[in-house]
Amino acid sequence: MADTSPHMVIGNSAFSNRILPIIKKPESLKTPQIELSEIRHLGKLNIRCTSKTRDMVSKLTQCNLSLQPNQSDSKAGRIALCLGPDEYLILAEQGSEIQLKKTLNSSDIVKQIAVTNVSDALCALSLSGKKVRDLLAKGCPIDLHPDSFSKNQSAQCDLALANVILICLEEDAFICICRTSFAEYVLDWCLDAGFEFGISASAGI
Amino acid sequence: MSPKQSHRLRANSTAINRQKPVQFTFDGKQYTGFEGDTLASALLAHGVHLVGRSFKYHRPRGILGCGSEEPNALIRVRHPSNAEPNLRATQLEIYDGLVAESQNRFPSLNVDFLSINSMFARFFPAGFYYKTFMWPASLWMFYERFIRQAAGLGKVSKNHHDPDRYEHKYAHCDLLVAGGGASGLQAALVAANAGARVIIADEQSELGGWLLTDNNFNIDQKPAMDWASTVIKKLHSMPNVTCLVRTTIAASMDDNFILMAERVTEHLSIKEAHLPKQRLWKLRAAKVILATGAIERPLIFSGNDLPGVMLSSAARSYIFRYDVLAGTRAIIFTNNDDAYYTALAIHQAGGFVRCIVDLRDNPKSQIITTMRKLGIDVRTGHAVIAAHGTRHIASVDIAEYDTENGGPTSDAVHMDCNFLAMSGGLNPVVHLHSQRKGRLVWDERTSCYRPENKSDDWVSIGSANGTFQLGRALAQATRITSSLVTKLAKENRRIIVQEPVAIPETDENKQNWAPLPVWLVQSGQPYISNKTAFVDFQNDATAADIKLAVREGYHSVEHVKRYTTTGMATDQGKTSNINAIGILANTLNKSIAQTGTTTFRPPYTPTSLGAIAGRNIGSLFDPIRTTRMHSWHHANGATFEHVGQWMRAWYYPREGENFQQTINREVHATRHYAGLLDASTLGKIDVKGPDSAEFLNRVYTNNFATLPIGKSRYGLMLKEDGMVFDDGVTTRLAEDHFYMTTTSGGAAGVLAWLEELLQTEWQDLNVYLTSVTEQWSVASLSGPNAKTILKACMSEDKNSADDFPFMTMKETFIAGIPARIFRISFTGEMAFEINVPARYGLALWSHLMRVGKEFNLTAYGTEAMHVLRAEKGFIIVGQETDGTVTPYDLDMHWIVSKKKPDFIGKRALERTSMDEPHRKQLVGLLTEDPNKVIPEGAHAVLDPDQEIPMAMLGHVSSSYYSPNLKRSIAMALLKGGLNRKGQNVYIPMLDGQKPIKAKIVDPVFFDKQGDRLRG
Repeated sequence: MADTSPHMVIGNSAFSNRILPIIKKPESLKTPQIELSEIRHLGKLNIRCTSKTRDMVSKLTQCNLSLQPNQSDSKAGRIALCLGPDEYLILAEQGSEIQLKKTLNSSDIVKQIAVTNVSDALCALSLSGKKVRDLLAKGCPIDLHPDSFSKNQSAQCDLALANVILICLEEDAFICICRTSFAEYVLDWCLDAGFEFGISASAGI
Repeated sequence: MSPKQSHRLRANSTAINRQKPVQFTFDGKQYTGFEGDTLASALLAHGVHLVGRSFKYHRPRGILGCGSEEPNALIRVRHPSNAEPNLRATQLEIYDGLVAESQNRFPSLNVDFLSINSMFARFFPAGFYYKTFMWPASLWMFYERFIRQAAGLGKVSKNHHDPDRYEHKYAHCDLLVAGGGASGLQAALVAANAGARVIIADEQSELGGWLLTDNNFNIDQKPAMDWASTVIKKLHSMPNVTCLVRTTIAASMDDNFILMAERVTEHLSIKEAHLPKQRLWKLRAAKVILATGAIERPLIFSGNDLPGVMLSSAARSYIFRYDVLAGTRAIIFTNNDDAYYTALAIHQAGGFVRCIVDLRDNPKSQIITTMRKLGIDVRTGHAVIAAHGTRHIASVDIAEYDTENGGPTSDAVHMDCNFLAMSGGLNPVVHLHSQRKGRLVWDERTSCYRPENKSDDWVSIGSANGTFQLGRALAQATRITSSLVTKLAKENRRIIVQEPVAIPETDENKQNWAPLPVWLVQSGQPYISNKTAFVDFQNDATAADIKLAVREGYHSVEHVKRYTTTGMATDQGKTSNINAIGILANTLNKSIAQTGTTTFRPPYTPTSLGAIAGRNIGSLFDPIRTTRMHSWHHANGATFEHVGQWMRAWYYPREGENFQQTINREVHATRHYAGLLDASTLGKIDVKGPDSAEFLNRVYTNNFATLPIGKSRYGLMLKEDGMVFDDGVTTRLAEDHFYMTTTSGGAAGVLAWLEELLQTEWQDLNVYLTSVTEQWSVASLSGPNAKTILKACMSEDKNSADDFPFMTMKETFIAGIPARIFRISFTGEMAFEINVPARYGLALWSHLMRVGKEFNLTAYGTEAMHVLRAEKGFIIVGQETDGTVTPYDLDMHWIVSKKKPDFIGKRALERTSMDEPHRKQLVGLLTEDPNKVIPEGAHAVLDPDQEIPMAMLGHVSSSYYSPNLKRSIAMALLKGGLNRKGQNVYIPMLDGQKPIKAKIVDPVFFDKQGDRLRG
């Protein structure tokens, strides 16, 4: 398969055009209250399956896919999101998605499902800090109140002018997934919107 | 040294901070106010009433109100680098260093040249422009220059760059309370106590509404404002409550979507850079309570617009809230009880109440007796029939008045004064209700339009609902909010109904709020006309204008509004609308209910464009999408072009090269050696599922079911109208798995369209689509040396580069990077599109450039790509097509399957008109002069000498200089073009140059047999 792990070349960050870290904050503030970093090359598999094959996919991926849309579940270092009635996104440790895809594609249900490696199509950003919800509220129309958007919830929504997937990990920690080509826009937008609270953007690992 | 605050009282209001004097200038003169003052209150403290000139007649105007209703006191604020017009002095809080100036006057407020307009008022009636400048039509351009000079309110800044920061904020709540007066506070408290997420917003600088002004009453046995302060304190302490001040609810829309403009730093002298000047809230509220209060109506009499004439409620507000006595010799003119409290306030503040003039015949209220006992001259059944003065009110004429027949019944008594407070009753602020298409009903008892509360989602309470008595308003707020909370609790476990909810008690129930509606006080004297009885102060619309409009046949309230401009402009008729309707109704001999009202539209008060734009400006105006090779292009001097949101390398100029030289070099290198193009932006869709082949068969015009695994095919996608929608190469990866490419700009639209088909039309098909556009970086390697370079780069099985037929795909490794290589070509040369996981895109590109160096590999941009493909006659969807072009028009009959039972667009294509010979068809053009390049978009004609407008034959869709052919080439869509090959056409030039002569030819200019492409 074409997405087998390479031997010689290390891939680039979605922010490869930028020199990071960048810190934006008001002078009156000692330390930034928001941290942004790329979770580089996080494994991402888009999985399409129906209720008939869902349990099998859950078993093969060791993820719980019995989820309602906009729910997520993290288990054994993997996060599964339900993006729609028949669409899931699995976030897995860098590189592990290749084996995971192989496992699914060599199973009996291969004809009934679609497994697509989107690790490079999408970019995962970690956003955290006590003001992170205030930052997101500047561009995201969903209800971000902790009562409405809490741990294990996710949403496909707008962040300013980009489409993103937001995943709530903790009260003040989120993963924001966007198309890689929008990564720099999202970075720039966050730096601008986060200025009020102080924001530090790093390249991540 | 700034002048003394001669009109500031000794009292000690908490709204202003006497410890903090504030220096500001108005019209170049320095003044001192206090922190908490508005510009209006600070100017009034100095006895300054004259703050502007009116729009049309340039009459001197003073401060009429004390809030957002203000029609007159529009001022311009100067900032270090720009200026802002039309701010209301009554809302603008002063700060150290504020520089404000009056508007609509030249050269100064006191001497205004255009005030000559007012002498010719009889020549500027309603509809003046329409009547005067209609003829001769040819002179309009001449008139316009002068009209533009005089027209408009305020002047915008000459500096087009707005240095201020504006932000957006999304928010959600269970209950929005619009308005922080008594009713709003009680509503917020009831909901908050139940656990609801509450936002309470008020446009003033503090919560409290009219309680900040009315200290006559007790609530729960303590002064009203003390009660309010306790509630405000409680609300501030609750985590589920957000209190917003200086926040105007600009718009109320469907599904309780609310726009609020919060002024964050406007009132501060030091504006911190990280905070926005304004914040636009985009709010979704489950329920909305409109507690927006009421605005007092002026009375309409001759000279009612003179500086020194003020709304009674405003006069009281300046006394109680700002410790400012606006006038020392006051006339009170009223048709209700409320103005008596203003009289009392003036009296208690040490002012002289010269006379209270009450239109009512024999009103009976305790307050009237009180006033009489104080020795104040109260004249009931009287009217002020005229006010006199030049730049300030100096005297009034008072007469007995017959409200039935409309006219004075006694001789006028002349009385001097320096102030007049008027009260014509209250108008509930129904704007937010009306914006939602909420109906308004005329209430005879209180003489006002009240909202018809019919929705479960938004309700008006208190004064906004026509319930003016404090006790009743508080009871209503409690009852209505409790019922909303009960509804909310059914859907939300967080909310628990608290019962019973106590209703605050008040001693305010003696007042008679019902006014005696007199819409126009007739002077009854020929020398005092209705022409200075102003209805709409901001637009200078008078009672006479409304009567004229009726005489001229305008009877609908909406027509009269537009004809007279009453109720328009920045104040949206807050003080004028109902009076205008009243005068209209009287003139038409109809009731007000029959006359109807206009609809209020957002925004409630002007909302700055900066707030609407927010941070979507400059580099954040539109997202810029970049490929993973972008940094290489940048480092190698590429000039970029926007393709949709993508930023693509356009061309790579070397030092000393101009545009054409660069393109020539890039095209030449690709044709003779090798070229490399970043094709990563192509749309890519993974198509998977047992019915994938059938699906593709239905969406493309040609056959994909027969495509062997590992092979690629070019496809043309139509919409149902048979017009070309997209094109691209699709490759079969497995029996049930395809890899589709689309145009760069069309990718998102194609995916959405295909998903729609699968989800709505073809639910029987088992196919999944996944966008993988950004998953792959694509380097397109083409030219005679392409194969050699590819071979040199391949990590394993280098020989497979030799055995690589046209339109096939291989999965292999390049420089250790896993790759899908497609042997497809858009240049007409042997070409390989190398796809690698995007993270390796830059590594792949750099490696290819390094290895390719010895084979003269040249990076080329989109412009050279366009030339290369045009030399081959390859179309670009969106350039050769525009949504009206069929495959037949493109002479691509070969791609439309005759065998397939169906595909999208087939039915439309079978209509006879679709293959008509006169349709615009794609052809090539060769100019007679090989060096002349036709401008793209130019039109072609058969006879260049015909008269204008010429009969067009069609237009030029692509046109370039071809360095390989050493001449210009063009593609065009011409009527009946396919049968015109060999004929000449002419391209008339816009710049007056001689038309370009060109010959119609086949659009394939280079390597017609395709030998180079197949290798």
